[in-house]
Amino acid sequence: MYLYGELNAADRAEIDEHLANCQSCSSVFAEIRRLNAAISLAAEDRPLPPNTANLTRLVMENIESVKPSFTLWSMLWESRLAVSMAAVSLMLVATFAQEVSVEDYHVPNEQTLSGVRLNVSEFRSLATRQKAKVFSWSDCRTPLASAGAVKDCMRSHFKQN
Amino acid sequence: MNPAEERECIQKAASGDHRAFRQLVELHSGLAYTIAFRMTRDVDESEDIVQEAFVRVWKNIHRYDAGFRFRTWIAKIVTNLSLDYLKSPRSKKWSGLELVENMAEPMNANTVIESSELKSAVFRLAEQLTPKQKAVFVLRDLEMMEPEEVCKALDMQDGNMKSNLFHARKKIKEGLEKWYQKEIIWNAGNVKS
Ligand SMILES: [Zn+2]
Repeated sequence: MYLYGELNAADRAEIDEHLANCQSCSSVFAEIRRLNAAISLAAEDRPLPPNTANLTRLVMENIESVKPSFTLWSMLWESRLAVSMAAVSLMLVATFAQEVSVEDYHVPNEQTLSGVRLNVSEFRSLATRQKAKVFSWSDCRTPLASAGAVKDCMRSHFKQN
Repeated sequence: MNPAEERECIQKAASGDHRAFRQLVELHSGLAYTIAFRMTRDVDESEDIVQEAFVRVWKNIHRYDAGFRFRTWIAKIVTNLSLDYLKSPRSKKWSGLELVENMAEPMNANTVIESSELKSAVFRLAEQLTPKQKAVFVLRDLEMMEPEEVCKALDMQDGNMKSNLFHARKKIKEGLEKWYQKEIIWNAGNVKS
């Protein structure tokens, strides 16, 4: 369908003439015009919350009790640290932490390297305490396994538990 | 708030700043609610969806992908929650009969169709769309988001998005034509008597 409003006067006149003489085109044209008019009208109607301030208050209350699900990976990412091979085991912990979702753990907001280290030890101690539920991630770390295979292995262990 | 300020707000919120997050909520809760309501047509449900959506945003804000516009990300979360609701048994479904009955009752005897009646006809017809068609229609035609934004928000390929939009518009167009005819017949009868 052409954008009628964007046509120049000559083209518009030509189309108008055709529409005046062609029943089927003019009815299609009219239908599309009606549809567009109805849709524009519906789009103008923007439903808003009955009480915006109250909704904002509820949202802020909700997040008060929810800690962002910071993962060690994201913290590393945000602190812009290059991830070297030496950090692979740290990444594995991070991946695992993501799997079990650390959202309920209290994670300090400082995105510093010391913050990350602090969390690794916190995570390890939590993991030890929850031994019944958590397998040892080092079980999956065989010398020849690729990072992907190790991750898959840990996933499968996690699902079993 | 300009894009740079918004980015700064997102960064602050990602480091746990509640005040920055509040600014983001104030900026985008209107959009979130509008989408939720257009999808569900239920005030309480829409408010719940908005709350849940912002909890998810808060939890995942450090994972925010700057390749998305922030509003597209909000739209994505809200639309997904709305689709979950539409698929749930809790969702109130309009039966075909209800739709026809509601649409067959013009509110006044003027030959000019009231714009509020026309709007409500569009909303009722949107209830007949499949959830996917409805989501595309709401984001593209009512929210007037760019096609690429709609695709990102709905994880859809361009072709799939366009085909859903085509069917949505077709259903609404056909419904409107029926509705107009009824209006005209009803109004003509009213004028005579
Ligand atoms: Zn023709």
